[in-house]
Amino acid sequence: MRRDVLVIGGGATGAGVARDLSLRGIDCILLEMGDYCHGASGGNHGLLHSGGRYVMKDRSSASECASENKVLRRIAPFCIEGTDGLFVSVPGDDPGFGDVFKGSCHAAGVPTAELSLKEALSLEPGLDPGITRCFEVEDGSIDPFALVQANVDQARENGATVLNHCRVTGIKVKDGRASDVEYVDERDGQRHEVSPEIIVNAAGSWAPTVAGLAGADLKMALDQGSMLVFDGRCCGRVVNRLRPPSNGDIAVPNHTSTILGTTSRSAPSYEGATVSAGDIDLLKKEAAVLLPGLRNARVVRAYCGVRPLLGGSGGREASRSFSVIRSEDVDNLLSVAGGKLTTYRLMAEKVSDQVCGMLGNSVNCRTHLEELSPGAVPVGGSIASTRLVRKYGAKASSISTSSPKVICSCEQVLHTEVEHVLQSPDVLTMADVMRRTRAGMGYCQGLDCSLAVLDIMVERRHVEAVPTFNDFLDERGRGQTMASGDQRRQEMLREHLLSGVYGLRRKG
Amino acid sequence: MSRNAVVVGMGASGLFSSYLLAKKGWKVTVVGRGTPASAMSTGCIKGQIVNDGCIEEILKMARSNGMPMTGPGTGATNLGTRFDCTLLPVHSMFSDRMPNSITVLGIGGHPSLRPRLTASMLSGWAPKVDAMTADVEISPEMTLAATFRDEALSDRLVEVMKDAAGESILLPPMFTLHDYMRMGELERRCGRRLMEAVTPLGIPGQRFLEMLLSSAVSSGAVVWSGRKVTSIRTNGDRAVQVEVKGGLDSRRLDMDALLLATGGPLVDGTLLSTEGISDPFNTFQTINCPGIGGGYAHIGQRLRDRSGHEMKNAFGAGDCLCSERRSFGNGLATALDDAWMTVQAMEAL
Amino acid sequence: MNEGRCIKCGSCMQACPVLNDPRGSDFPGPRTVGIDAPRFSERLSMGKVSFKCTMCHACEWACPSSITITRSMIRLRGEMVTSMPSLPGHQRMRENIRRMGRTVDNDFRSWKENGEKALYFPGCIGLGKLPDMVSSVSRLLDSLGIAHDISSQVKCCGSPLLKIGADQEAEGLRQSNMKVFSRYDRIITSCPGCTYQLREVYGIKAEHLVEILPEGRFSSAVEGRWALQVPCHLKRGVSPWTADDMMSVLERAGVDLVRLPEEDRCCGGGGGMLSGFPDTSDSIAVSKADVYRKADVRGVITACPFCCLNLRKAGSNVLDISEAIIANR
Repeated sequence: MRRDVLVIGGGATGAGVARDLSLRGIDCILLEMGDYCHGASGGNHGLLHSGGRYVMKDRSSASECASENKVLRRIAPFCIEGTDGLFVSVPGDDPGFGDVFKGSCHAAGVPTAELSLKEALSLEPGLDPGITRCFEVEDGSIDPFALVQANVDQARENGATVLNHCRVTGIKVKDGRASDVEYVDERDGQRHEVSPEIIVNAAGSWAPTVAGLAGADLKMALDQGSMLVFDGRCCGRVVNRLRPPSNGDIAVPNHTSTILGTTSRSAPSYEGATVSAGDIDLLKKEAAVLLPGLRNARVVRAYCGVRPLLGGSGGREASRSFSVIRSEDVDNLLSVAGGKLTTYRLMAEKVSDQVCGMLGNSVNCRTHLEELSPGAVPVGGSIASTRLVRKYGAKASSISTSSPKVICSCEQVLHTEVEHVLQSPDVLTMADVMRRTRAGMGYCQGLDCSLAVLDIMVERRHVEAVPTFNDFLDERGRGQTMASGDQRRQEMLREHLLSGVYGLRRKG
Repeated sequence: MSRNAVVVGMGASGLFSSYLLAKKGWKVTVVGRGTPASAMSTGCIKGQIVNDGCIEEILKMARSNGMPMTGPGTGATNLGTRFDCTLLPVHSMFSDRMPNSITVLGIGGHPSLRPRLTASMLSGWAPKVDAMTADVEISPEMTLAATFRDEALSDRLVEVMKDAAGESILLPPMFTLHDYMRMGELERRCGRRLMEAVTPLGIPGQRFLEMLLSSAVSSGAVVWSGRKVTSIRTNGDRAVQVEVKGGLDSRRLDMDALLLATGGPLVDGTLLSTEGISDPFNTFQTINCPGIGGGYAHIGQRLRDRSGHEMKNAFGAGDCLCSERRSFGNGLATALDDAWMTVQAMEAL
Repeated sequence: MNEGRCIKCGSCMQACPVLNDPRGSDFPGPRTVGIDAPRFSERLSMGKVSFKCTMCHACEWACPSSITITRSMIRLRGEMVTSMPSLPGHQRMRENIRRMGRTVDNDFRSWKENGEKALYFPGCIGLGKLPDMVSSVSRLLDSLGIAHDISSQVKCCGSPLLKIGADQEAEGLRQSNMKVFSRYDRIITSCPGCTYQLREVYGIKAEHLVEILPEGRFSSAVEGRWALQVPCHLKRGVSPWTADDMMSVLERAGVDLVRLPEEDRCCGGGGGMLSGFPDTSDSIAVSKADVYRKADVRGVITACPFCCLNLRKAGSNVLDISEAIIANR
């Protein structure tokens, strides 16, 4: 099959490129080896940066964030919570940093306003009363799963082919150009072939592997960041520590949880990245300086994302900017490295511009103009039905809310919602259902709802119950190895139920 | 001479031993928060009870409470359901023969029994299993027990069940001890053999505890629910007094014997304030008792003092006797057996 | 604020008298309303069914993680009450309080305003619906040698307003009642809801009748076998000891008591249910009355005007504890 462009990787970047190219009328196909967002696009804070975080070290990134923040609020309001954010310092932090920060924000075009301490504490009562300075910025929280899905949907509406669960297994190179790409579709287990003019390698942490398939060399530093998911919204706004970027200095209220991050250390590979007990202690200790309530809050899950950073040795010194690298070995292979969720659209635009240049296409980018999932309006009646729009955008209107059956009470997921999601051929596993509905992301980590989802999948998809379920348990189990306190009680109850009643036991 | 016993913990072993002690003439006060882990159990005795004396007592109690059990002249291992029950082969109890075909019935998306999942898990084992869902709109939070006190819904269920393909129908547990006879009525009306699914965290466990509680009360035990023991005073190798806190007030109670039946760490257990026991949750209730050592550890049925010697009149029963390494309950059979043995030991005082 | 301890065992739902009633199926349940909802920024969109709770604390007692579910639900009601129209019954109640200071019209005439040291505070339901009960409590207090006033100036304690989320409106009542209370050394109540409110919100040492009974010696005023209805707001609200005291006072007086397993299960009358959802409240009471009928007892003895009222409506023969015993001189 001939295509103009093949995009490899269904994270925010890949989906953004597919959307951008299809809006310019370019024929493209996207292949994702797992599910959308299963890498770093799903393993992050879900923070819509104001840019404030980067004003000191990386002014251009900060300006990009500031302008993209506005664009995303305009084109994808349904999956964004405009919570605003605070930069807060405490005794012991460099007292001069606040003024430098203020000046740098101004220079980078990041809107900011200093708040009196009284104002700050009344806006965010969970803050430590001893804070010394506080600036307000336009941070927000964003649901990366909903965002990427909306990109995929719009790409498809404009003619792109988007396939998840398709792993690229080989790239043939002839005369310094990639010609045929072979992939395996998990749905039929068969090998397929596609022959693109241009390949965009947006595989994130796996980009070096993909480049390697074509015999090209791509240098990338893998940097892992650990994050903790706390139960409940421990703060109403994004809370940042007013100091040079360091460990555990951002807490983001997202859906029903607060996500705290992050750490920075190099990772051997995506699969090899693990959260250590030390990471958890460090994050909690650092965050409790700003939000003392977090010290005793329940940690539902710990996970890490792996940042695919540009060259060098990674870590906090590495640039959070991005670049598009045209391979020296394979002429029609473009690889994308670095970047952030907030600037995904801009990255996609830059990549697409370059692709267009190579194809001789002169259509302009429209991704900053076209709204994603337009016409999304929340319906009331219950928490579950009110939330549909945040997760599905305009598609929410096709989900029936007439039956009150809630299959997941921590995330208030409707039975009909799961049925709706299962209509999509994209959805193969329980984790796929979870990424779309959030059933299983709540504080019980799928104690009850996983059985409901499995039951529906056995009915609709005729899947084999035990292997499907074990995959899900493995996935959730990865975030639970360090569970303590109430979360450990939760896990013990799960084990009791699963092994005592269904005879199921998590592997290992 | 009246002997005063204080039993701490209102789970299976606490209530059963209170019942036995009260019957033997002890003046028993059982203290607990009233949130026993055994309420989370399947409410069926699956394991083997070792002591014949214990089996006798349980059967006696079960009969007088109308507690269902499988088959005539059955041992206590089939206690908990009068109808054949299953969910997995390990829990299956069939009075005579295994049915040739089973229909698993789910109730309109209610979480108590996932019909397709259950059917697919049973399929490798029973000859023919299929699943069906009764199309009844009820809220998933609601207890099925309440739903089927409604006549119209019962009628509806009978209609659905008449269409089942299986020779037997596996139902979610929905009948409390109080209206268990309705299941027989349902069986007669739909003309199928009924089986009851053994699911935890629901009606069956409640049924079992209800039986234990009312037996303990009617045998004369005083139940102090919603309260907790905050300290135990010892005198040499004897535990002599407990302090019980309820609401804002505390009361003291003298005793001739103490029995700890506070369960293991699945739910908040009760931890004696000693060193050497790690609390994985940081949430245990703590009993202040400088005279007793060892936390969950024990020798036989007796607790030890700080120096490791056996206490004269302080005992343990059920899961609280297990080490802190155990991750969840050992089941009702062990709890009851253990309670029985502890009571024998207390009688020998 | 300890909702984060939930492990989803479902014990609260098993214990909930509303969810266990066929007419309560649209209540989202204590777990959803008290534990899950506070996590959501969309929590106010739940609508009026989330008020379908009797505030009986059964869920709280059943919770193995000691989550204060009821308190959390009250907080949520407070948020919701400003964002949606009140239930008709709750609106009526609020208007009554605004108009005459009590939830229902007064039907009691035998005020005692002699400047005694103790005040008997019968509460709106006693004064409005059960004047005989109020008289009998007053007689019992007299025979115990507790000289007391029954003041016509006291208003609603504010407990019903707190329970329906309108606690802002209760502050005026508190101030007005405190003026009356300041004249007395001792406040005695016969309604557990009032007792709880006076203790927790007013911060005064009010005593429920049941709490002073263990001091006295009584004989039975009734014949035949009787069952108990242990009021939720007394046992789980005021103090767990009251349930045992109630029982031992009656037993020592020689009342033939039958202990039923569900004697401390809610009658369906509390938490604004009687006014807000009369159907469900009634249905819960009817199934309770059914249990008592099957137990073959003469009637039921309780210590709460709401239990009295609601179970009588459902056809039970109900006595307040003051009507079941006579003090021995």
